[in-house]
Amino acid sequence: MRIPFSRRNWERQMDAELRFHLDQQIRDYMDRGLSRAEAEWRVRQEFGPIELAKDECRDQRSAELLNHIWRDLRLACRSLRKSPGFAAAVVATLALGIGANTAIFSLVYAVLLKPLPFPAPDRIFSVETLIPRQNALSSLPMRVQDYLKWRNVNTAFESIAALTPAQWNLTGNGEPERLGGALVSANFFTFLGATPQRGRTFTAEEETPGKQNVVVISDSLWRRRYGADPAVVGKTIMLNAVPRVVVGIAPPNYWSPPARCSTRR
Amino acid sequence: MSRHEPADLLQGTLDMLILKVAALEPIHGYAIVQRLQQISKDALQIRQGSLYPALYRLENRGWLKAEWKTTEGGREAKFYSLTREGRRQLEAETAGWKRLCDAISLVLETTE
Repeated sequence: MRIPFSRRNWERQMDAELRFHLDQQIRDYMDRGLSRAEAEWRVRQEFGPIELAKDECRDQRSAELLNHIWRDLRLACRSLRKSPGFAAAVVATLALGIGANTAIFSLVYAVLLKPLPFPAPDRIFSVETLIPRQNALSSLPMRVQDYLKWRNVNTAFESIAALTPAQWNLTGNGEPERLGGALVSANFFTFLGATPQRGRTFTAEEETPGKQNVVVISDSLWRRRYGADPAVVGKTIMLNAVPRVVVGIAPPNYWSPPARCSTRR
Repeated sequence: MSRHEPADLLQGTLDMLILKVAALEPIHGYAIVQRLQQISKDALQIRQGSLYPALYRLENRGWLKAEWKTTEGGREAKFYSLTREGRRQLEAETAGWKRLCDAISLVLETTE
């Protein structure tokens, strides 16, 4: 059985077949002495609605197509079952291919595609000092003096914030712990559009010497070490044996500087 | 498959009659209608519009095969003939029909 897969071709054949039927019947009636108009009228009466008949034929065609697909599937399954070694090889190939693709995509997504967890991440830039005509050590970290100067004359950016990775020893109230974090300018959280889930972030005044003993702790530290106790805000903790006041708790999943950075202090 | 549920028996009957007529020689749709009315002495009135869906269905099931040929009148027409499977199906349906008829007449005669 062959299927005319082209729909237009199939329709043309059906039309021709029905046309043939009607023409024959009309000619028959005319041979028996009816006028052409009478014959045509009678044939229409006897045949019934032609469009309905055509629709029913089309239904058959759809059923036939489904039938074919189903038969192909069954054939495929049968032949796979007949050669299990080949089937296993195919399945293994597919599994490896899909697995490798998934792994690579996950990596590419995490490294290249995943957006930063801040509003308007495409408008955030990192600034560094470049030394022309020097290949080794051609870029240097920013100096605080430069930062302060630039912040005052900045017109290119909405705002400029500074950050330097750091590590601390957290002591008191349980096991001592080595924590990664960063020293930041007071506007750092506003800069990234982050609001603390409890307490507050830093005020401009806390940038001045003597008022810097304030910290915002991460959500994970808050949960792990302090059991998500809201009363931690306002408490004093010991970092590198210096008392610091916890003023706020960063939002969950908030980005913190990778620990790797803090080794180059 | 059909839009007319109550016509189930009739539809099955039409299929059987088509197979029977197509078993003799390759035949086109119009001639099938003529032959059926002729043989049944016009006692069978076939709704001609339902003939073609039936033909397509039988072809779909592999009981009929179709071929375009030239008629005596010199026109192209689609001729249907029985496949080997169709022949088996016709035998099965005929046997089933005979059993049904026998059973029905038995009931009618016994209760008379």
